[in-house]
Amino acid sequence: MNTGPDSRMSDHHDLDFTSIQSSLAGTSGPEYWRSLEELANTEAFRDYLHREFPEQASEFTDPVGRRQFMRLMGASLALAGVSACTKQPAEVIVPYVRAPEEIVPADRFSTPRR
Amino acid sequence: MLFGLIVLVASSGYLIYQTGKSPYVTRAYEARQQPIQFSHERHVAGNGLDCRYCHASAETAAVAGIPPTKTCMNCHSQIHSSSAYLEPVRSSYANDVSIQWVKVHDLPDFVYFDHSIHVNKGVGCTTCHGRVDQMPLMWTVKTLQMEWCLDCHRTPEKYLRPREAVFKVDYEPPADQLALGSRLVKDYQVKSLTSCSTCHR
Repeated sequence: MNTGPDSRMSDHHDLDFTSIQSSLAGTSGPEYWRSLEELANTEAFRDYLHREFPEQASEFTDPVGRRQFMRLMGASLALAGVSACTKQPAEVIVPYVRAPEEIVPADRFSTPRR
Repeated sequence: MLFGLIVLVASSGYLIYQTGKSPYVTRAYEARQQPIQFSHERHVAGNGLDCRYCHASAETAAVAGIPPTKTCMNCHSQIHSSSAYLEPVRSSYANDVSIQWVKVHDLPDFVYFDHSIHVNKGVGCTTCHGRVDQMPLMWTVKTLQMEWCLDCHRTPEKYLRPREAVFKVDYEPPADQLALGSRLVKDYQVKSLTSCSTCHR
């Protein structure tokens, strides 16, 4: 297929207008189509429709892959709980060397009250 | 057969429960090494220092406070002023670098704890910290687990003492502790706070 910016419009000269007209000849009432390509319904156009997003088009269609994904995620979540089974890490207390006046660690008011 | 299975499940459950609060898990009675071999036994029982000389904000703030190096140097610029044991103290003071003490009574970070309210409602130092005056290096004597907190929060009358005795390290509860405790609960308006959000804020 053409890959230029107006490839779809420029495809018109590829279309077989006689066969399109003949396919419409026997119809009556409203018949809608969004493009002449859709109306022509050629093999190349159906293929183009199917691969509209070629990069993602065939992702997650494999049921084994999805099950494997669920299995691994389930195992990861279950094992994440095991990390709670541990002792607290040691913490250090780092006091002042010379405590400033009127500042008491963890005192809401930090004012001398006695 | 069925009876044996029930006994097996129950006993293993009890074993797991007891192991969970045993000193093996809680590290109770395990003396912690510190950057300086500071002895509470020496300073409290030997020299008769009051808790609040060093832990100055125990009555007024959420944490009791670890003393600044200056507090050590108040005495140790005169006493044992050339002792090798105290070299880290002197170098901390001279170089303006804090001493990094290892935290012994380490509550989980998801627990809110305020020292001052406990002290002011008649919970003695030794009720939670044990006989500090008999500890050369600091260790814990309680599990510091929620079950232990709730024991006192549900029935504070079992542990309360008069306010004037809070800092007495050799305080012994009287024989009629429950009668005294019930009176103190009323006098100090101690509420039995057991809702989750009391501590898990």
